[in-house]
Amino acid sequence: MPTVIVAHFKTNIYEYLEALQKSTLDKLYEEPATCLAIFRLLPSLARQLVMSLLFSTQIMSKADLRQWIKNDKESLSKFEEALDKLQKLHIMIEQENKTIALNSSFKQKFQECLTGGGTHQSFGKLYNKPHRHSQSNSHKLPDIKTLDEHAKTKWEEILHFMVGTDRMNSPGASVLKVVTKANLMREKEGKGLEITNKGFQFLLQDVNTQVWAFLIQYLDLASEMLHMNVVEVLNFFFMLGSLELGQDYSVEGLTDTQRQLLDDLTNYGLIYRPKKSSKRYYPTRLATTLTSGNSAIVSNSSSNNPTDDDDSATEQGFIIVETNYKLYAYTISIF
Amino acid sequence: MSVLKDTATVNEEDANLLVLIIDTNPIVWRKSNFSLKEALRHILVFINAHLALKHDNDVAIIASHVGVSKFLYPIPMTHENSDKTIFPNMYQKFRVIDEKVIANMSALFEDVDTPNNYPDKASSMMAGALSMALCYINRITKADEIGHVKSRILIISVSPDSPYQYISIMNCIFSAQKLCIPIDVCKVYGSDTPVFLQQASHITGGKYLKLEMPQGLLQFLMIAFLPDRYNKKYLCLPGEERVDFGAACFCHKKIIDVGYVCSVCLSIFCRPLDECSTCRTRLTLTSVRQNGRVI
Repeated sequence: MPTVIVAHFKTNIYEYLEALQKSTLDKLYEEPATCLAIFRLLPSLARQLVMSLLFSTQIMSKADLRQWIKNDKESLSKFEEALDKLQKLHIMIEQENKTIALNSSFKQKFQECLTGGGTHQSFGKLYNKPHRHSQSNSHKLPDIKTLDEHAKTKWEEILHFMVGTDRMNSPGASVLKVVTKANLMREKEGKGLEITNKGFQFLLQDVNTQVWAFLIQYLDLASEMLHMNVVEVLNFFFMLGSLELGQDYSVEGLTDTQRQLLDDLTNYGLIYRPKKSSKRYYPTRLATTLTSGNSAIVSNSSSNNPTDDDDSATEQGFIIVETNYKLYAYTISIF
Repeated sequence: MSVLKDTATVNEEDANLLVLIIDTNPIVWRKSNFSLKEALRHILVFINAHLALKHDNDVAIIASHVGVSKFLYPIPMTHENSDKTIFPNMYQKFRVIDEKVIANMSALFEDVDTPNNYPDKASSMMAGALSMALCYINRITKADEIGHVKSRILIISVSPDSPYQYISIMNCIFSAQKLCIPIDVCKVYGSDTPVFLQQASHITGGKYLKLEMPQGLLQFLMIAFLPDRYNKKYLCLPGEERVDFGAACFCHKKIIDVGYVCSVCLSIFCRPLDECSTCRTRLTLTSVRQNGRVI
C-alpha cells in the first residue's frame, strides 16, 4: 500500500517541474532546501548517480557512467530511466563534447545542504523573540494537537464544500478559484458550484496527493492572475516540507510573494498563525509531510504516521466486572 | 503473534537503517597520516548524504574504541535537553545528528582511564561494536511492524583484528548472515592481516575495500558505500575479490592456516587434543596417524 501512495504525489510534482523552463529550474536550484526536496523526488538510481558525482571533480562521459551499472537488461533500463529524468529536470546536463556533468548551481547548493555551509537560511528562520502573550491565557502557544486540529478543520472544510454538505463556514475565495480552475467543480446555473467527475476522483486520493494537486493548481493561478514569482512560491513550498512540526518560524526574510502566500496557506490548513498580522507562523502536519511521503493526519480515528506515538500510548484499557464476580481486564500488552 | 516479515527482499520504497561502526583507536589513527578529526568531517557529510537520500532513512553510529564500544547516536536522553536551537542554514535532522556525534565522540576521548587500563592497545573492540549493532538492528526490526526498514552495517576500520576476538566476531558474522544484514568494510589504514573483517563482508554479501588514498575518503564512501541494498542490485561496486580465510585457534588465539577441527562442533585447534574444549567430545587421532601424515 505505501508504495502506491508515494508514487502518486511524486508524479504530480514531477510532471509540473518537468514542464518548467530550464532557466526557471536553474533559479530553483539556488536554494538548498529546494535541491533537497527535488532530489528526493528522483528515482533511487538517479539519486545514487547524483551523490556519486556530487563531490567529484572528474570529467565524465555517459559511457563512463554506464561502466558503473551492471550489464543486465533491468539495470541498464533503470539507468536510462534515471538519466532521462535527471536531464529533463536539468540536474544533469550533457555538454557538446559528449561529457555529462551536474548542473553547477545544483551541485554547489546541494553540497552546501549536506555540509551545512552558506548563508541562505533556506531551512526556515526561527522566531527568536520572546513570546509576548505566553503568560496570559487568551493567547496560548499552539501545541501539536492544536496544529493538527487546525489542519484537519481547514482541509475538511474544503473537502466538505466540494461534496456539498451544508456547513457553517464556506472556504475562502481563493479556494473557490483553485477548485474551479482545476476543474474539480464547475458552475451550475443558479445553484453555485457543483462537483465534477475529476472532483470525485480527487476526493478518493490520499491527503498528500490532494494537497500537492491543490498547490500546483494554486501555483498556476498565482502565476497567471496574481503575477507571483513561481520560483519563490515553489521555494516556499519546499522549505515548508523541511520544517519541524511544533516550531514557530519568523516571517522575516520571506519575500513579498511569500508573505502573500501565508494567508492562503493558512486557509488551506498548511500553516497556523496566532493572529493575521503575527510575525510568526507554525507549519502544520500537512506542511511538514509535503515532501516526506508520510501521511498527514486528517481523520481522527487512525493516524498512519508511525512516529506519532501519542495516540497509541493514551489508548485506555478498561476493566469489566460481571455480576457473577468475574473480572476482565483489558490493558496494554508489554510485549 | 507477528506476521512473518521478509527481511531479504528489498523494495525501492523501503527505509534504510545504516549502522556505522567507526574504529576510533587513537594510537593507530595517530600512526596513519590521516587524522581522525579529518576523517570525521568526511564521515559526517557521508551520514548527511545517507539521510538525504530518503526522509525515512535512519542512522546509528557506534565507536569501537580501545577497551570499550559506545553508541555515539542515538543515545537516550539522560537529562532535560532543551537545546532546541534551529539553525536556518542546515536541515534540522542533519544538524542534530552531527552535533550529537561530535559531542559524544569528544566525551569518549575525554575518558582516558579505560583505554589506559586495557592491555591490548593495538586493536579495538570490534566484536563488542558488532554485537551492539546487531542488537540495535534486531530491536528496530522487531518494532517495525510492516517490514519497512532494511538494515546494513558499515565498518570504518584502521586497527588490525585481534585474534582474541575471533570467536565473538565469527558469531556476530553468522548472526548477520542469518538476518540478511550485509557488512561492508572500509579499511582506511592498516594491513589486511588478520582477515576477519574480510571474511565478514564475504559471508554476509558486503564489500571490503582498502583505501589507497585516505584523503579521498568521502568520495570512496559516496561511490562504494552509499548505495543501499536496493541500489546494489544494479551497480558494479569496487571491492576485494580475493578473501583470505585465516582463522585463530581456540586454545591459544594464534592465527593458523592449517589446524585440527573437532568433527562435532567445528572448533579449531592448533595442536591435537584428547577432548574438545567446547563440546567435550572425546577426540581420537587414530585416523590422522593412519593416513601416515603427522602435521
